[in-house]
Amino acid sequence: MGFKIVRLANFIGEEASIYSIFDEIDDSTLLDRFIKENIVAFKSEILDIVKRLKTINTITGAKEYFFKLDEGLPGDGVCALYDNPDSHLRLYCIRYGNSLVIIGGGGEKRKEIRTWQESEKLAKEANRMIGISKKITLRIKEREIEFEENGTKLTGNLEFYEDEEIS
Amino acid sequence: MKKSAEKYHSEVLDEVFAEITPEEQRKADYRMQLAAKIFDAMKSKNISKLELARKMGKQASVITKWLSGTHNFTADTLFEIGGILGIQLLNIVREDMNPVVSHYHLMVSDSGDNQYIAVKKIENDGSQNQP
Repeated sequence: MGFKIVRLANFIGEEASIYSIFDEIDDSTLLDRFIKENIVAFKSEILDIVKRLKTINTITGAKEYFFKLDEGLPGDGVCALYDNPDSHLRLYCIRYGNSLVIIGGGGEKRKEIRTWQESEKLAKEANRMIGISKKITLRIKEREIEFEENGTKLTGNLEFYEDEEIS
Repeated sequence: MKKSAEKYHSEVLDEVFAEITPEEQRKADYRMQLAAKIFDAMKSKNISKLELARKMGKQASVITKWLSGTHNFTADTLFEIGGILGIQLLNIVREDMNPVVSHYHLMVSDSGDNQYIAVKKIENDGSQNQP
């Protein structure tokens, strides 16, 4: 069992495509799980995040200044949707230019925590996206995954095994 | 031809979308477009985030927040940013009202002792009314 990259059909705009990771064990996407985990405690923040994703999808594209960059390893594209210092949630993504973003998971960033490494939940979610980014990069290098239609579309082998080796 | 990503329709997202009014979405759209307009002006004027922060007397993190598309600007702040970047972020020009245009057809008749002037208003749809 593993995961696959899926395009979220709820976002029908053309400025940037919104993808997520479908986890075959959870039978859910990481974005759905993030919403379900946080909608009760932080409903207004979830609504705000979804509104911003819709604007990115339909109007602005995934401009880099809408994200907190460099949340992963250098050059791996792992970032987080910008969160205000006084907000409670962090949502990790992998951004491929202005045209495509893969939404991952996230969680609560408690006030006493300065970096994701200090939070078990955020560390797990960030590390997962770092691992996924590595796997995607490897397949891009091997031309198993390609970007099409001006970088708005991912094609190729988008299904992965969790224990797949990364060389 | 390579296989496209599978499309996934999320019912969870549908439920969230249902809670967002069109007006709330337009506000989010506006904030993010405003951020994009500020960034584009910074780029075209070659003004860095640090430089804008210095000119505005703010920390660089404040500019990051402004550009995030989440900030609710005051009119004063937009006025100051617009002044530095040379762009109009607040449009206070009155929109012109639709002008009222009337056309009249003036006829002067002179037949001996019976001189008269007749004025006929020509309506916009082309029909004519007696005054």
